[in-house]
Amino acid sequence: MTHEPPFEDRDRDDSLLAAEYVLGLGEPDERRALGRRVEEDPAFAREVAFWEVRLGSLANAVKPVPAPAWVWTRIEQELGRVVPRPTTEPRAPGGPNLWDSLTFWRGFSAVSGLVAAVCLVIITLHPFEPVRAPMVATLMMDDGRSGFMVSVDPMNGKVMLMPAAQTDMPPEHTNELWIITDGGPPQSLGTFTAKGPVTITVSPDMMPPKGMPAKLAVSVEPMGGSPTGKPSGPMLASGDIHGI
Amino acid sequence: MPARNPAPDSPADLAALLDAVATGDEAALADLYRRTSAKLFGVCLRILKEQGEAEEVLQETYITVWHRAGTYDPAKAGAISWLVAVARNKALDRIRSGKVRRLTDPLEDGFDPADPSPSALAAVEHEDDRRALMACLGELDEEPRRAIHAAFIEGATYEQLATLRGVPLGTMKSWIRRGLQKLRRCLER
Repeated sequence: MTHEPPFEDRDRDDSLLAAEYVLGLGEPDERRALGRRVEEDPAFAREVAFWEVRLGSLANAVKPVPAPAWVWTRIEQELGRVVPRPTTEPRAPGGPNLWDSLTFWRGFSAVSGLVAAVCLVIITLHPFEPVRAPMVATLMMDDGRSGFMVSVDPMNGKVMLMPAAQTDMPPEHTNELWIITDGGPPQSLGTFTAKGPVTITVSPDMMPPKGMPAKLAVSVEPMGGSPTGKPSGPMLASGDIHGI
Repeated sequence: MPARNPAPDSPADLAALLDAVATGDEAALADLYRRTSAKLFGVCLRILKEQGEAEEVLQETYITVWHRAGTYDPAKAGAISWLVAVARNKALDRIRSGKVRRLTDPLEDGFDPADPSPSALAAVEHEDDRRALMACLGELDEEPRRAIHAAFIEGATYEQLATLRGVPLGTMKSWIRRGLQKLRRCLER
């Protein structure tokens, strides 16, 4: 193979450019330019589709990994914001249209009145909870040194970690952050590398309810996180979450 | 969260779900997610190596599927191939944007010749495409075959592949480009 002349960039035809685009081999600038070509040039888009279809079965070799439940929750939230709820749209063309139905609107206004009354009762009985304040934690290592300084923004589901000490990591491993609420089982908040400050976005419902004791802990795990869903490697550091 | 334990998938099921998603059917999207998200999450994780990044790309992938399901043509591609292409494209855009640091050698366990064993999900769709690809990859020399496989699975760049194999960048480019040309000629036969 090595006796062949080098294959220069300028010698690529569209099929090869498309294959490189699909594999992701090109430089970032070239990738952006080719991405625009896919949108604008149907012939080039067909070349890209050819490779996507033909190479697609290579994904057979990839092991499926269940995604955390909050990914779907976020998809639902995003769709709820950007698209009309499909349940309010008529199913078949020419079928009865809910929005034009007098019966629907009469029923809707009756139910709305009831909902408003119930809300008033709930608000009266349970005044609004104050805005959840940020919390902090210092995660201590076994040798008594501080491992991580952590601040938690429960309203926005942000956990910011700052490594406070050099920690040894075996190659091809990562850190995983766990939350232990009121003595329950550890729940993963995600993986990170402790080379500098890092922010992990978590579902707000993973945050401990106000006033409930909770700990954070960091373990060493294989790349991609613990395969078992529970901490599988050594614990680097842990500590209680406090209000400020 | 959609219920677990999906029924066995057939290509027609997934194509029908994409068709329903294109009409704005959120229940169909939930069902599609239930059946395919673990595969796509695996694909994203292999490229991005970071759980949080992979979660965000998975989310973007299904939002894109929601908006673009109408462009899917079952006559041209299997539903899984189409979904994998959307997910890989998003993962590659993110990793090539430079916002994500590559943390490890991208080829930690992916530098194998193509795995010939079909997964349960992929086995049911476009088996002919898979067989043709495996046969044509089998006609390539070992180096280009392994490099193309690693590029697809791990999202590795020419530079990473060249460094890993200890060959000049130009050599790796030539191996892969000639390999892709040969692959194309074989797949068109």
